[in-house]
Amino acid sequence: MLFPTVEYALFFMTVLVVAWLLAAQPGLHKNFLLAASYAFYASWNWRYLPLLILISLTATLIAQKIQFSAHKKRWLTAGIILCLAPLAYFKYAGFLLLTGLNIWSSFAPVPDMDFPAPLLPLGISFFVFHAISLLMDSYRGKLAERINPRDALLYIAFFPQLIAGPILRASAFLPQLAIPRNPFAIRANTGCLLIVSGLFKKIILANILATMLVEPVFADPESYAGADTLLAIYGYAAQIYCDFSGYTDIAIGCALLLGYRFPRNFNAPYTAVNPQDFWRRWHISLSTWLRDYLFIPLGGSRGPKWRTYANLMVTMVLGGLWHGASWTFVAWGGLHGALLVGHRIWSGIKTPQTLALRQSTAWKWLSRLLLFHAVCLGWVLFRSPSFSIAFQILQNLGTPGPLTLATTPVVLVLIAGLFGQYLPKRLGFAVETMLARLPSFVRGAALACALFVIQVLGPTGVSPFIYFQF
Amino acid sequence: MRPHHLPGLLANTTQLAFGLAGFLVAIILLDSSGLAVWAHRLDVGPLRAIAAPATANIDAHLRPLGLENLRPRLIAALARLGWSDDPAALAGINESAAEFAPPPIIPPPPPPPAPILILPPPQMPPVPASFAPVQKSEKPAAPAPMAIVVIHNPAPPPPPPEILRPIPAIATSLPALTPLPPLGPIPPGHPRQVALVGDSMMAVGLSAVLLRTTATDPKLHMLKAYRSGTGLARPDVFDWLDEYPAMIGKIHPDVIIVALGANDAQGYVDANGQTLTFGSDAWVASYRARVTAFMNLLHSTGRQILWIGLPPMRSPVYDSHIAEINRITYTVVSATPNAIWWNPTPYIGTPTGTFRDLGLVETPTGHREIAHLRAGDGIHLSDDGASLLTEVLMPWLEPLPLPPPPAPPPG
Repeated sequence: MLFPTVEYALFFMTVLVVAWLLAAQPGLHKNFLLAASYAFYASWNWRYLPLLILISLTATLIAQKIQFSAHKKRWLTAGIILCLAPLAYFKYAGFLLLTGLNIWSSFAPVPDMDFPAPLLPLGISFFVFHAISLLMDSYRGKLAERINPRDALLYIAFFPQLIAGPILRASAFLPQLAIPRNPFAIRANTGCLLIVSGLFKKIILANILATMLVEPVFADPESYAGADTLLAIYGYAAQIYCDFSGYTDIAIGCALLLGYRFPRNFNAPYTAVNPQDFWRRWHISLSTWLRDYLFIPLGGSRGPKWRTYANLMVTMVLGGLWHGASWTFVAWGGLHGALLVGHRIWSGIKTPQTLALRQSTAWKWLSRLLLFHAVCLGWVLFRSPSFSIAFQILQNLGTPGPLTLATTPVVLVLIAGLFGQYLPKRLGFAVETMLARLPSFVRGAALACALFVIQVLGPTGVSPFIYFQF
Repeated sequence: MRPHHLPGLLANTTQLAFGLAGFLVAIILLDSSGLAVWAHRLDVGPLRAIAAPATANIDAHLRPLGLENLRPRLIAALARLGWSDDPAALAGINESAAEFAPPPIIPPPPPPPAPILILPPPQMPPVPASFAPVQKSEKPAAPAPMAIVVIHNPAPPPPPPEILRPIPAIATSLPALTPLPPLGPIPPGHPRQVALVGDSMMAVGLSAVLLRTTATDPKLHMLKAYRSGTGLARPDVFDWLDEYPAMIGKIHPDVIIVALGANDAQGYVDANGQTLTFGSDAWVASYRARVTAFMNLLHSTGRQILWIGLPPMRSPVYDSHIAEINRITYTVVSATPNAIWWNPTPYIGTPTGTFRDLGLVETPTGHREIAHLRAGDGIHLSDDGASLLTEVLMPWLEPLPLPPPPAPPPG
């Protein structure tokens, strides 16, 4: 059930009505949401539903143990190993075997062998990270009350975030589940606007960029000269932002309509002026997860400089590997690690000249431009199926030739995808205030009109969200 | 001030209910036809059984309002501005919006056709009228000895040849290795036109590797005519009989390479509203007729057709469905002149013909290493897997020039 489908709309409207009818009975309300979440997951592949339940139950029981045990660290270690084991098996076993075999093939001929790699369960990277957050927050004493097993299961499986986040913190979401929903304080306007904005970004911007610009160039780079290649790289930067932030907008909007608050996941990332700023704006729930549960336990920036740099590199490389079991993702993580390290070194140079330079507006815009292109370099690695294709794409940038892919729709959606992030944030608030003056019935009709227009403007068919594969 | 701190921006459940009602009323008024088409396109199952009659009923009652023309008019206006990704819409867009009928729930029979006659074998049920192009005998009560399959060939049609041949029974096994017929030399200055046709089995992996391999080759010119998420089972979603001519334009390719059918392992509802369960006799007859129609279309536009069979799949159930599709396409393709059904399994499957994920490939430097032959979904080809097929296809598409005759001995 993809978000932008009639099937999901029917599912969500049913859940919305029943969930609010049950809001006065919190136990029933949460039982229903848990059942709906499992039904949502089973609609993809019911065979993996037991895996989701097993990981959730394991994490819940161990998190309870951690809360009241004298051997918290042992339980934590056991819990993390048990949660990571399925992720390692499903996502990385084949990759490690393949890497080992190919190292072997450098020294001696390898036999023509096969390994039946299992199908990656949808959303496993996300629900395992939720399970680890539950364990870590329990270990750090951030959960004030005894963990309610049903609440913990719902926290891990709650359907709006189940497949591709945003990654919630147990310490932020479990308290929401502990109190009843308030039927007089629903952020319906914000929720609906987020859903419309998410569908606009996904169905129109991301889909048009993918089908009319990015896919042709990355599938067949040699047929395109430098101008088209550069346009496709910018196009992918816009596509992945619109695709992923569109998904999270819909997820956050649906949760708001149900009375729950999710953390913000994107904040105009291409307006960032340095790598650190970028990671405070891009996939915020993942970068803060990595910071709190990986970078800080590794020592963070408390030790000597070299140790901080090493911690940054390890965190970003593992973050890259989390996206997919491939060396191109490792290189993408490594590139961002190197950018963060480079920025730390540069920030440490504090002469009067550098301090004055950093204050200037021209420098801020130049930094923005440089950072955007460094991020685009990373996206080439991220999008390419292999290093040879990535190098081919970069090599093609120097090839003279005509610009053939800059059709009107492509140019318009590219501008909207990249520069829409510079729109003032008060714009959304102004629209919301305007909507608030309308009767509820008219607001609902306006939402229907918006969805109709989006559907007419979008290309035929909807490709899956990019982040579903992680 | 944060929005949620403003009481006017918060709703209560009554307002939410009114909002939901407004949404439903507006969306049904605006797009009842779209909803009916959505329901009609659903896979056969309980949801479709409820949604299809309900939405069709609503649509029928709302038709007097005339709102069903809104969407096609908007789409037509956008296509005129170049805002469309539908080749048929862009190629054949009509200037007059008035001519745009609402999207039909059931595709109407096509206009007067270019006929192709096919004789069904005595043991086969008559080809159902579902698949657009069937005309029933004028006397349905009497057993019809012959069904006349009428193919609508859109776009400026070269008169397709009439093919009169008996249809063999569906094959029970597939050939492991099929020799590829020689294509002959490529005349200098006239690159061989090769059309790449299919669904994601062509779009993912295979087309990319073929395009990359031939990007700088002056002797081969690749034409892209593939679209992911399509197939022959659901012309209501994407009709290859309409779309292929629009994709290929006026070109008559020398070779057409087809990889299609991975989305077709599904039941569907035919034009008569009859539900055809996947694998049933009626489904097989209907699907086979669609493959036949498509082959006839390809045959009328290209010189040599190479239909690449579907490779073994990871999921055993899906694999058995794909084997059924392969048997049907093999039966039809092998009965078509100048067409070859080619089995990819010996190159990317196990020796026993089952799915394999890893296999030995040769890198550009000549180093042999293990790589994924299939994408992570266990369905599509990886680039490495596709390269094992292109290693066989490239020498066929572009044979090496014959060595010059030996020089006469001196003296």
